Amino acid sequence: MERKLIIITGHFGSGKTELSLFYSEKMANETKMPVTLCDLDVINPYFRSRDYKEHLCNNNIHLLAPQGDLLLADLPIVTGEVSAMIENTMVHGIIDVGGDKDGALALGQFSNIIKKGKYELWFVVNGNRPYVSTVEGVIQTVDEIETASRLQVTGIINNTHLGDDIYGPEEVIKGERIAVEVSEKKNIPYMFSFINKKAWDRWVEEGTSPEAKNVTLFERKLLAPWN
Amino acid sequence: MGKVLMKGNEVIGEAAILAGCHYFFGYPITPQSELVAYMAKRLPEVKGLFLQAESEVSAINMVYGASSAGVRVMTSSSSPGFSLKQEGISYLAAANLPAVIVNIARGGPGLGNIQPSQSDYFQVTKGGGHGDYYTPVLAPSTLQEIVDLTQEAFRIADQYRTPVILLGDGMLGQMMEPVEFLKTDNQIVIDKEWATTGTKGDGSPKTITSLDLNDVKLEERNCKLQEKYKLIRRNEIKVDTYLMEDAEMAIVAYGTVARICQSAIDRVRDEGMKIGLIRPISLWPYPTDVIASYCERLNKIVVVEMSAGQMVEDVRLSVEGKVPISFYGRTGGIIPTVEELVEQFQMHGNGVLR
Repeated sequence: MERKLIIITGHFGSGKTELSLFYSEKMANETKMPVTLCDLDVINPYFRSRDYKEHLCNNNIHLLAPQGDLLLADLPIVTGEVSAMIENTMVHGIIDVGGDKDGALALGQFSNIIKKGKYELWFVVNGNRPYVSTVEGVIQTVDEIETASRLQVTGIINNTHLGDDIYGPEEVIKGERIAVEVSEKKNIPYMFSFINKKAWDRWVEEGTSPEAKNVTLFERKLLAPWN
Repeated sequence: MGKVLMKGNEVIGEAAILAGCHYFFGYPITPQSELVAYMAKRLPEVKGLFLQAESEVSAINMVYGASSAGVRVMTSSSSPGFSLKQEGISYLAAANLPAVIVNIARGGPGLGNIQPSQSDYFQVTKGGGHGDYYTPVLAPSTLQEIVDLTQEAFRIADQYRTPVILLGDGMLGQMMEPVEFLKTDNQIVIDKEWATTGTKGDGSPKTITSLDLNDVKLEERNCKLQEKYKLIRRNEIKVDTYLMEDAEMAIVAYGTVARICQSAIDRVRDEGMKIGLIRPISLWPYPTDVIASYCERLNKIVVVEMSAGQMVEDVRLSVEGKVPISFYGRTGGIIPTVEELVEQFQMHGNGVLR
């Protein structure tokens, strides 16, 4: 079986961590090869992949993040294990990169070894976030991330929503339109819409589910303490 | 503009700009750095000025300068950096200068950690710096409320010529929620005839100072400040209540924790407990009278904070011994869970209210 290396980037607050958690779980369930999720987020202090260590462990996913108490720090720590994981073709790797070009800078140092093998670099779009709510804004962010990471974006994912699940299907359509247009202009494949299952189920019940191209449903993990 | 999905820190920045604040001086510190980063990117777009100071002390003194010139100005920090600003806040208060200062609090004391906390309550509500002064303190609990209260903070600051503090915690700064930016009257910047923008030769020089070498004059300044605080106490109290109509037990909490309490209240309500929430929004002036007004029919008050017990003192002063008060708090940046609060509320209500 061929190993997969999936790198997830985007504007900060676009859903990279949610997608990283979902995909590592999906890969752990669907393949026999071990899965490592690498938390390379040097931007966010909260809501990071590392905060779900126990959940990942229960799903046989190895978490690669700063060790011990440093897990809870806001220090830009990137352990030496990251390059080992990138080069290890016996494990699937998912890299959750911190937001924007600043977060992608931490990824750039590995560009040479990443380019030696096959990789996918996904760009997540939430069209309701400032600065990525237009095609131009997304293209600018894609360009900045490609420059900082010294890698090419290989796929665009639509994750347009308004938090929780109390929003309409028009958000998905709006995001898909932006993502598809970026995909055409930049000649980067459009991949799928990433949709909260709770919202989707409600739309199905109401008969309003959107006619999105490809749909991947997920159960939200990054929740507020009162949810 | 419809709804957008933003981080709390970004919302503060956008709301401030909407309120006409085009000047920001700050220094990054987790968990409020996104606010500094947002202003750095956004202010040039509205032809405003963002300047990263060399320290929090510099930033607050830049605020003093900008405010003296009559513009709406803001700075922000998190607990340790907010402590560094105290001298400057005392100067602003003494010099009758409007400004908005944001504290997205984190675990303390000392360097502490970067997790959310409410342990700066004493500091923000009892003066914080030296001398006899208070600052109005607004404590939002949702991101939409941040939009409203940030703008309100500028209105209060200008109206009373006082520094105003917007208090949140790391969770509020980091979490994302949909928000809508609506036009309000608070966006109108009033004319500041006292601003040191030059007299054009038509009057005596305008000065802004907090120095009074003459003791009588300094007492006069103090008396005027106290008059102002009396006025603010009378006009600017904000409080929200939830299911208090028939409540026999009240929870008092503010900010992030109030939302967790609300979820826990919903659960124990389902079991038939008559319980409600009083949520102070202005922490100074404190809604003393509102809390006191419920005393007659309450059997118990439980105060919940992410601190070792600070606001609980103001609740005690409000009820003057008429209702037994208990406290439940977590420290160190730990956020209480809905489950643990349900357990606490059941324990306190047990045998009394069922």
